[in-house]
Amino acid sequence: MTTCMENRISGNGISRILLRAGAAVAGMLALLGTAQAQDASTKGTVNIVGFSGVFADNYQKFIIDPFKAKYPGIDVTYQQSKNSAETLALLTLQRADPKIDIALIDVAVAIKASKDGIFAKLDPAKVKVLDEMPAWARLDGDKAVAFSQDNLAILYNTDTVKQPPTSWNDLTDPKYKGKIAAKLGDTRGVILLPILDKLAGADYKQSIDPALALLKKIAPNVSTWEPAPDCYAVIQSGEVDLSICWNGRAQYLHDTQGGKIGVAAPKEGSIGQTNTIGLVENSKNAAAAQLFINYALGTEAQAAFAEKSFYGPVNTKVNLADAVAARIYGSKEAQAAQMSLDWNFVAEKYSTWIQRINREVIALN
Amino acid sequence: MSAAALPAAETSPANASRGILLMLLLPGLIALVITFLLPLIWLLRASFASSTMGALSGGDWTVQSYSTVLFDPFYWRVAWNTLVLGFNVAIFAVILSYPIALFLARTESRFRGVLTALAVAPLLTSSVVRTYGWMVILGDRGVINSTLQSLSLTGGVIRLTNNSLGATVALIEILMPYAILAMLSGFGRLNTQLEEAAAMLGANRLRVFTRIILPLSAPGVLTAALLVFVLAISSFVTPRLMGGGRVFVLGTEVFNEATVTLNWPLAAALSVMLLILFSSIILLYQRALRALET
Repeated sequence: MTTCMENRISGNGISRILLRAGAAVAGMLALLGTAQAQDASTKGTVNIVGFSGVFADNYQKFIIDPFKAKYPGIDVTYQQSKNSAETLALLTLQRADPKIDIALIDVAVAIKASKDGIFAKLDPAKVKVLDEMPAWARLDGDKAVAFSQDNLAILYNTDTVKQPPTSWNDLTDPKYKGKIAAKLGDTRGVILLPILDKLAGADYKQSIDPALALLKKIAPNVSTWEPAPDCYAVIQSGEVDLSICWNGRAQYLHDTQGGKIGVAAPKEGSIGQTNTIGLVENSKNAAAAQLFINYALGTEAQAAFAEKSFYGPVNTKVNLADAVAARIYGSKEAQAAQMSLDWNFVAEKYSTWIQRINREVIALN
Repeated sequence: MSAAALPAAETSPANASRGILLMLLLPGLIALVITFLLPLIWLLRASFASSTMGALSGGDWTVQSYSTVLFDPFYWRVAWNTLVLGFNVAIFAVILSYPIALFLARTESRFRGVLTALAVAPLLTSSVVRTYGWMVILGDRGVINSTLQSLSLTGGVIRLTNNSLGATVALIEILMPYAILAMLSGFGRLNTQLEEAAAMLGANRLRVFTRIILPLSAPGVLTAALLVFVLAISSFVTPRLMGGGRVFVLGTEVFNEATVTLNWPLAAALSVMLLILFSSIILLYQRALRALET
């Protein structure tokens, strides 16, 4: 990081001036507020465990690197984990002597972990940005905070599907018989049920029976409930026409791999797979870690990450450009219909809902 | 030397050699305890834990996971699916491997070594890779379906994968090398002189096969069947990928409970159930083997 910065300084006169000006402003701000001065002098290492692959690359580039530039005294390490279950196993094993300070983890797992005492309550005095977070994002008494939402969407093969679906109801269209890949025995299913409930005019907190009834109408069209290697590759290989999966990765693949994969954001709106950030209980670097969390949830980091990863931001103060918002949430109509879930409620129902999807829909189709 | 002293003189070297034997066994025993026994004990403990994910944190004991498994008809069906899959795979893998193994055991070709290596070569690649291979062959747009369609032999797509048929076919092929290896090592008692003797006494080739070859190769066949069965009922990657999510077996359920719903005690209880299934099958096998040998 430092070498990269030095190169830029020596290579470009204008940016050198700008940087100096920035440093001067920062210096003045530091003089003005003692809090900031304390922040800048905070030293230590923040050890993060989180999602792997493109997510890790983006997180490093757009959140960790700018943070390190801002707080040179703090070192940040990022350990990749295959999935949230593995992260949870790691945190549980290290409970007596945590080597990890911050965990990025799927919301349902985060609530479970928090109930088991894995996470510490965030200090609102240190994580001031908590004020800017919506109520639904502050989970289990600020023990985990939602930081991004990746919408569930209908992905399609741009070669074979000339008229992309516009509604979740299109999934029941018989012309897609045997042409849909839908891995629903996990968070995808747990998010799809409230969406389908809404289509059926029901409320997920009352009953998910209407959603399951609708899912049973989609089921005959499903070719595989276990797309391999994943729900994106089966679209790109032409094995299926439609796939029910996450928007962020699909947008990335659309841009990087020749637009073979398209995203149809249904007009009825969607719900995002929610990722949370949490401070590990008994973290040895709690001060530096909370400084990091405060930065990661701030508008600057949230906007940058949303723009590059197409994960919807959670901070209410973030304003997205129209073009970015359209790629995250879809049309204006879909944006207006965007939903968020009461995750504390859903976490309770998580395994029951998956069990019902498995037994009442997948096992019978 | 008196008669009374004799046994004592005999036992002391025996004791010494037993001591040496134990010493020699010790490293292996320690390795077994660490890699096999301890995880098994931990698994047992986890299956009696109460918290949905606190299996590692100790705490109280409960039989809740077992009652969930035992009183839920779904898990009985899953166990039944697992057994059916295991039996189908074991039977077909043995039937298909038997001629190959028999040929390899009896051939006097100078290429015997190469042929044997070829037969077990698939073991060098991961079963995940071979599963993907089968997906290419059996898929809706795979080799078989596109051939049938281009020959106009079928109207539409024949569903060969994303169901239990696909899982069974792929598992049979993936486990055949194990069956061949097990049979090769179990065919030691086959003896061409016995077959020649039978032929000289007027037995035709079918009779030689049913009266001489089959009985002598039975232990090898049984070992192969057991090995394939055990590997099949504990498999999870192939049923998961080839079954399109529709094949619910104990392996896939353990994986689901452990990684998706994070109910580790339930996953542990299901694993223990699988272990009990294993052990009962192995007991049956030993009975059958003893019956064959007497």
